[in-house]
Amino acid sequence: MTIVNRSAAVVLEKVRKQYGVVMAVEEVSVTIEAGTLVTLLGPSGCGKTTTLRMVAGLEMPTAGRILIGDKDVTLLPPNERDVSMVFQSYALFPHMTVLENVSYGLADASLSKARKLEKAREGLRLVGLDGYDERLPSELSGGQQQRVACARALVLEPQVLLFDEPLSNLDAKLRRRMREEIRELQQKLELTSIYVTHDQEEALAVSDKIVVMNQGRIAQEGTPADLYERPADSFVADFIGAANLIPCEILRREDALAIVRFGDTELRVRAPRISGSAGYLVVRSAAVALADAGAARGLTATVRKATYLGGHWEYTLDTPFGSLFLAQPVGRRFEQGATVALQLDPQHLSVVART
Amino acid sequence: MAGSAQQDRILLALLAAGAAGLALLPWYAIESGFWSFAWLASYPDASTAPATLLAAFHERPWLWPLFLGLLLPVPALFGHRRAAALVLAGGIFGICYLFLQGFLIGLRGWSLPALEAMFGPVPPQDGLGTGALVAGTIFLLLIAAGMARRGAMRGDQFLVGAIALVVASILLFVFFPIAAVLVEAAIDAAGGFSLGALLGRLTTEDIWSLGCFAGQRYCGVFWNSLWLAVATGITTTLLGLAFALLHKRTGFRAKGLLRLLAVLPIITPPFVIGLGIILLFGRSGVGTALISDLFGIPPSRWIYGFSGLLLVQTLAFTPIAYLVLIGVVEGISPSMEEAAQTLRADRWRTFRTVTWPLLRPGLANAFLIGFVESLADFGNPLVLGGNYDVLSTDIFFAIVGSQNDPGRASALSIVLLFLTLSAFVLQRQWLGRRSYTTISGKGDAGIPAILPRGLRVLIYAATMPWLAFTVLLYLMILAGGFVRSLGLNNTPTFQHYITAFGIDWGPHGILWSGRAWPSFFTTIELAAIAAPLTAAIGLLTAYLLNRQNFFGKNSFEFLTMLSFAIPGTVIGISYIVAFNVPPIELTGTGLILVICFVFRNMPVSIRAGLATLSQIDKSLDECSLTLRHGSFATMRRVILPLLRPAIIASLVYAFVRAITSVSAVIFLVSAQYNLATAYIVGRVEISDFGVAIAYSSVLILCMLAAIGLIQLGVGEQRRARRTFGTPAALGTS
Amino acid sequence: MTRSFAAARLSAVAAAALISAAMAVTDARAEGNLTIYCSVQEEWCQLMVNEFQKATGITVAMTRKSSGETFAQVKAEAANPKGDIWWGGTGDPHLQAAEEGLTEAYESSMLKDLNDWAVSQHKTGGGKTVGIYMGALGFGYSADVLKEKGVEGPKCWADLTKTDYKGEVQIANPNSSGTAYTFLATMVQILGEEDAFAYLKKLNGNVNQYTKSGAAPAQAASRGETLIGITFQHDLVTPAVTSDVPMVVVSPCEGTGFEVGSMSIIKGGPNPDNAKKWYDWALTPEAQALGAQANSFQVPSNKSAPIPEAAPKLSEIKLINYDFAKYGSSEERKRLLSRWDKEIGAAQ
Repeated sequence: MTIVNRSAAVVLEKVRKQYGVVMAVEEVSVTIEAGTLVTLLGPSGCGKTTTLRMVAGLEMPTAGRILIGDKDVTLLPPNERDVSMVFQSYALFPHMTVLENVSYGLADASLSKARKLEKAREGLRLVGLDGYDERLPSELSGGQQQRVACARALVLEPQVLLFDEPLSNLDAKLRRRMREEIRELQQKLELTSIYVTHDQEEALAVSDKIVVMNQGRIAQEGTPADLYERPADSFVADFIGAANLIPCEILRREDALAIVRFGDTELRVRAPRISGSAGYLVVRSAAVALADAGAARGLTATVRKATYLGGHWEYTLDTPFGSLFLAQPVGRRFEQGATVALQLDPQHLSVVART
Repeated sequence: MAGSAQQDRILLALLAAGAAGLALLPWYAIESGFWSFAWLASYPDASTAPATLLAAFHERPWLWPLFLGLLLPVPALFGHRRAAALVLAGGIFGICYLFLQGFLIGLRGWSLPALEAMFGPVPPQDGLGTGALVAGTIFLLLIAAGMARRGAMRGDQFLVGAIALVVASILLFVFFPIAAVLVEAAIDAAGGFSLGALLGRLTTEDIWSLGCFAGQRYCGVFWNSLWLAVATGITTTLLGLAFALLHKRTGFRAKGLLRLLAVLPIITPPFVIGLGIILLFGRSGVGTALISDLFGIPPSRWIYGFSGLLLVQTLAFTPIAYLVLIGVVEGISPSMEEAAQTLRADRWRTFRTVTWPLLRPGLANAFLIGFVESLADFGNPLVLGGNYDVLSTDIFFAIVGSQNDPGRASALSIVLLFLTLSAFVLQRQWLGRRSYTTISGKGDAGIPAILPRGLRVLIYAATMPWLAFTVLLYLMILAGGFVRSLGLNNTPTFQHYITAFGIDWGPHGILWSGRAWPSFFTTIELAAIAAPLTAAIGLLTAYLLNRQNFFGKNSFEFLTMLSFAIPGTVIGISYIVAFNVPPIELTGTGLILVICFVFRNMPVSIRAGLATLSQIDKSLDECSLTLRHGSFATMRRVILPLLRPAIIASLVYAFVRAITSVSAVIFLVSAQYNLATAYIVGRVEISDFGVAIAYSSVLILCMLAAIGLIQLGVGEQRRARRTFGTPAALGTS
Repeated sequence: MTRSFAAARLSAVAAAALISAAMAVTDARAEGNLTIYCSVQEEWCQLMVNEFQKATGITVAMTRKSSGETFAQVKAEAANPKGDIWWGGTGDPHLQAAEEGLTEAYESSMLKDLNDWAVSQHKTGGGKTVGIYMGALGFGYSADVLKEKGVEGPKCWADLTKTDYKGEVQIANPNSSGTAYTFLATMVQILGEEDAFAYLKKLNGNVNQYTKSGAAPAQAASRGETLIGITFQHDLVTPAVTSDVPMVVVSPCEGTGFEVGSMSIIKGGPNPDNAKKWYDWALTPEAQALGAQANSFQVPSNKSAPIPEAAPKLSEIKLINYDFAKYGSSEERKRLLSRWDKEIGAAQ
């Protein structure tokens, strides 16, 4: 017996959620294709978890519709929706064994007890926990608890699998491993998944598509590369990959390019969706190369702080247009107080609107 | 919107049950009790018939419209467009009509002469019985079903029904009686309603006189109560603090003794400490004789009145202050004191500038608890009051004395209620926002600061004699049961125990010849019935408050907690006033005692439940919901097992408080249902201390044994090795 | 649900079931029920109930409350009486109940065997009540305590106001105790109303406590909590017998009032026939002899009932001609009590 794929698409139409006067989700419309993993990404309070909980049925939308596999589930209680959810705290029932936990959701009366247990064991095998049947959750490590939570959600063969910051209680190393396992499992079973996180690196690692949310609205949606390379606004640019934003003036546009000026420098950079004349130049570490001030052309800057981090250096630079924070490969070392030349690679620069 | 299949199934079941209530079960209360089933013999005559037969054959046609409440929702079963509205309307009509006819037609026919003039005479009605109870419950659930269909609580019928039942029962058994008291206080001598009567009663000299400052011997009863409560609040808080510091901040070793002393007052019937004091410090008490011999101080009657009451209330309520303050002392993070010390503060300065300010809100809280406990205390003033009248006993004697003035009792109740509610509101509004708790959930590696030496000496000096005194007192109480008359005639005897708990062998087996047996059995039986009910309703309420959001939740929470602040004496009066006549006639039954126990002790269950629930991650329920379990299944399979510590705490507390409570039930006991405490009070009133003490000792031992047994049961079965804190159960008497 | 909780619940249910089964067995007798409100000492009440149950097989439920409390209860329940018979307690509230129509008239065949005062109580109450015992007011003190105090024992009502007894006299509050009201009415009848209140005011200076229950001063005096307790003489005898205290019971020289302990059938009670059975039985010599067995030393109303040894001797008591009709009426009572409240109670 295996876990069957019954994935379906999820559609949110103009979904809104209001608590009294507080607007938690202003308006969200998004489509999640069957079999893909879509991440809701954003800072805390942006409405991503509320959106997820509305898909689960744990919150009722104030307005709008939610469809799972073409069926309108907006007013259905959670236990009548074909979804299952992995909680941030795992929500393992502390008074039940691992096996009881995993078989808990298999409440379908048509299933015999033996088959339920068999299915639960299959779920545990899938997450690499066979043999842990009789343990109590309190006797498992954090990672193992995580897997039990996943197994418990998987065995229901839901149309949609929901993850609410599933890795935030794990340490950094384990987090990396678990996110790979989750992604692997999701791709292997082709599960429709909605994944909520505030960790941009995690989002980039696991997603087919990322929906960046800010203040109850969708700021941008797209593939990880889209978002990283072509941020729609300063918020997305800053949130994904921690860019330096340098105020600039947009002189004119040429097709998908824009001619921008900051200080005395003029550059031609990518700017797919921008209008107006004020913008931010999005400068990531990859777009900058540092050199000795005397040795190369370019903008000059002073090293205010240099921190050695083993794999790379982190520099804080004072420049005429503000301070820049950059990571640079090891091999070349610039002392604190040194004057350096900045060489910008327009290929890796982009511009977003300044409002 | 038409209902789902499940909604229709539930509606059908409700309508069927409602029909059974109207067409099968006896409509009026059965004198010998429903569960005796003696009524089956004469079923269905005029006194045992269901509503249908009463309406058809026994001249009570006004019962017909009740069926309308059940008929209105029927179209909903066939997918009517406005199903929700119909179900809702049926329920609302049914319940309103049920009460309306009950209040309008009573024991003597129409209750308003004007109606008799209009419609002519009607036959009388007894109190509502089982059939009416079933029908009323069904109407209530119909309202809930209707609201669920309109989308309340995400359409969850179980939740809406639970909220409706809890709210209705609290309205019926807490607020209706209190309202009845308010009305009663405004009924004048002629039986009419007059605000003048209310004002007259509320402004009488007896209550407000400040004569004690003007040369008279005593002040008004309001001031008496207030002085005593303030004094008791202060002494219990200070002593409680001393004990808490002794426990947590000194090297004191016998901590088990402290814990025992903290439990004792909870299982001690309220007047027993007063009795002990009389035995010790009465004019012929053992202690008095000793002092008189040693120091030549002539015996006097100082314990009867303010000083004795203060002493005995301090004894009785210090442990509660100690329990409150121990949490506060524990809550002060040692790191904070360590921080102060690393900032060059010496021990005194640390205590004065850090520890003390952090303690202050806790102290205010402990003071208010002592204040309210003192106001609500009934047993001790009854025994030791002398001529120092306080509100709680005055209420009692206003109704049971030959004055028999329920109006005056009600007015006094209002004054007492005003005092306790003020304290309660103060506590919530003022202290609720100023908690300096420093528990962060993170481990705190600090070591509590050692108290300055002077303070340590002071604490030992305050607590040690007190500890010795308490132990002596309880020994005295135990000993008092084994001598003929302690202090007067110290001949050892088992006579008191034989009188109370004698067992003979008669020709047909055991003969419970002791005089205490009937009240003892009744007490245990009613307490055993009330305890699980209390726990169930309390925990359900806690679940609703902690886990669900619904309209009016804040006021609902306030109301449930408010019932905590109503003194037992007021509850007793209000039940008499409200439930003595049809439509809801409960006096003289065991049921009224059970109800009284349930609603008196429920707030503690709620607190225990809230404390435990707040430690259970909400995502557990949500997870269960997403795992195909409805809210009822979730409650049964996830919440209940995890709530076990709270269940145990509630059961123990409800059981014990049902046995020890006296203030409320003394009004409600009857010939068939006499309770241990009421019996003991009767003995005390005629100074028959031997039997009273013997009985009290047996009660205390019984409860200790019961608590021990229950805790033993819990200790063995700890399946989930994750531990949940058991909340301390506190309450007012 | 976990096992231990289920087990605890099961055992609670089992215990409750056992107890109710035990009670059902005692309820099984078919002769019916009787609910009695009893206003004498607990022991006496219990003994009466037990003997009656033995004699008739009727199951009796009994509540013991003072006569004032019982009157209040009967009045409160008037719309829906729960009790059948009210047995014992001072006669005034019984008369008051008769006056307010709370009780039922009944002519027992036993009436002819009763002492005059008992029959006269029956007449005063319009047939709705009857005398079952008599007790005279008095006061008492423990000889031991008196010796300690080094004062002389009082002989008359007038003695009680002496400064020797400052803070040493205890009596019940007439608002809550029929005994104390009898004292109040007695003084009014001996001294006249004005002088009586002057006397009470003076006495008030010596009173250490107005107790709630009428017999409490006797117990307090026997325990030494007060020197002198004013109450019925038979109540003063009881502690002397039960606790071996050398109690001196004084019948005041001026003469004294008395109570006629009474019995009434409650109007509209659930078991009227059984109430009559009790009524007749309670007037028999056998039933009236039970008081002494329970250490209650009142004078029985049946002429042929034996008079106990320790009981106060009627021959040594100077009884006044107590006007039960007047002082038992609720109007007079209310008037005297409110005057007492104003002049004595408020000055407390």
